[in-house]
Amino acid sequence: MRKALNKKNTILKATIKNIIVAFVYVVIIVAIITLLFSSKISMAISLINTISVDTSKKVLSDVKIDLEHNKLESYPSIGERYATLIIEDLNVKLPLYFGDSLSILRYGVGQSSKGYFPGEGGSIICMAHNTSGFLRKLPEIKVGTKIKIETVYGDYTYTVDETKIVHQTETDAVPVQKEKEILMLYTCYPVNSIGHATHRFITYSSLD
Amino acid sequence: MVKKIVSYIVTFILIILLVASTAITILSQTILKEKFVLSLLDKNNYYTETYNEIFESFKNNTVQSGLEETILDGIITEEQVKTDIQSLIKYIYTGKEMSIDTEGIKTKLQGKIEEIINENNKRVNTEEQQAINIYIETIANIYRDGIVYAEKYIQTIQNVFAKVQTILAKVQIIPYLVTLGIIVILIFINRKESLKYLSIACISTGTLFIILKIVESSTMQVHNILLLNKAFSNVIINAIQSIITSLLITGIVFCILGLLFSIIGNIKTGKRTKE
Repeated sequence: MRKALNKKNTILKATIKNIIVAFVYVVIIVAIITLLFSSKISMAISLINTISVDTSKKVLSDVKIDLEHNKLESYPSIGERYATLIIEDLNVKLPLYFGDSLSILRYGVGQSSKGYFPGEGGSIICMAHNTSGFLRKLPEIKVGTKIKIETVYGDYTYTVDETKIVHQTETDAVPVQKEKEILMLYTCYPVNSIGHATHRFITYSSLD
Repeated sequence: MVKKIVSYIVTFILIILLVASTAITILSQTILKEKFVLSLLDKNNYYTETYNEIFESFKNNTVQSGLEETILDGIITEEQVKTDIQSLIKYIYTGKEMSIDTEGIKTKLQGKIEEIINENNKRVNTEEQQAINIYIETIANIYRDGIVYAEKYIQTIQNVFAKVQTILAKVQIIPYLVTLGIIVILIFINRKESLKYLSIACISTGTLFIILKIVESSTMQVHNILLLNKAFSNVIINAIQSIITSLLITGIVFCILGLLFSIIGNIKTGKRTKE
């Protein structure tokens, strides 16, 4: 009985010894790998983590404005609805989203990330489709019409100063500047076209 | 003493070879195998997801065209998307020319637009015809991009796959043969304790694979990868996870084998000492 127990103990001890030696090998190999490829490994890990998006943690941004410096303290995420655009004279009331991809424009007015936000004192570049339910009536707008943007941090009213029809390639028609708060709202033109509309109807409005 | 030192050095080489052989085997049975990728696409509902993504992009572009979304009905089918994706996969793995049919889409769309124009007795001038042509071309390009994503990258991937497959076909057997040779050398050097060194090599190899899994789950957010779109991301996530799971299972098997070798080896040594 004791012999059998001793035999078992010897086998156990020898096995543990082998496991310890195996771990020493592992430590040596891991050390060699870390020494030779540590920068490449951390680059690969950070690359994977860069393209990883934890959507479960996404919360609606708490958008606030710093009135003293005319600057938003935190910005909405791309695709997030943060305001409503209202043109009472045209019976238009549309949700305003941050971002201007086609998938955003399917649901309302998109705001280009190149410009500024209402209240920041610069160009606000907004656009929507020219179909019914969106900005089909925009070309009917008159100078002096009020356009209201109700954001989660405050309401802003603009008055239309000028309208213009430009070719789609004339991108300088909607310049980004920070001297004066101007709302540039545009849609594709002509509104009853079939296929790809080559022109844009733009309204320029200043903050009241 | 010299015998022991040589045995430990040979064991170290054996660990490296076991890791390399396992990695080559797992890669050639997963990502480098056309069948594996096709089953991954099936498992992740990739064809339906891609069809839906393409159709959504069609709709996004149609909203601004002055046309109703119903114009897109029947323009593409899920079956067509599946055939074209499979043709792309075949191209990547075999280099066989891929055929992605956008002409059919263009013809169907042109016919439907003409129908609408005729129904509304609308006269189309040159500028309007040009706008229609641009719209049709855009829809066809969306389809092709939705299947291929980025053509130049696909070309690069195909080139890399072709090279890897050629190299693997030539040298795949070498790591196995060398591993076998090293085991023979180990037995030759230290016949009595060969199982002990084999067990150490197996436990070390297994532990390395288990460590890899631990590093993956503690430092990388593989399950949250977002690349191009949801469908493509799911395929990438599943491919990486299948490879890592295979390595983990292999690691556990190696550890168990190592423990078995150690126990058997020690029993044998015990018997020999008794004799």
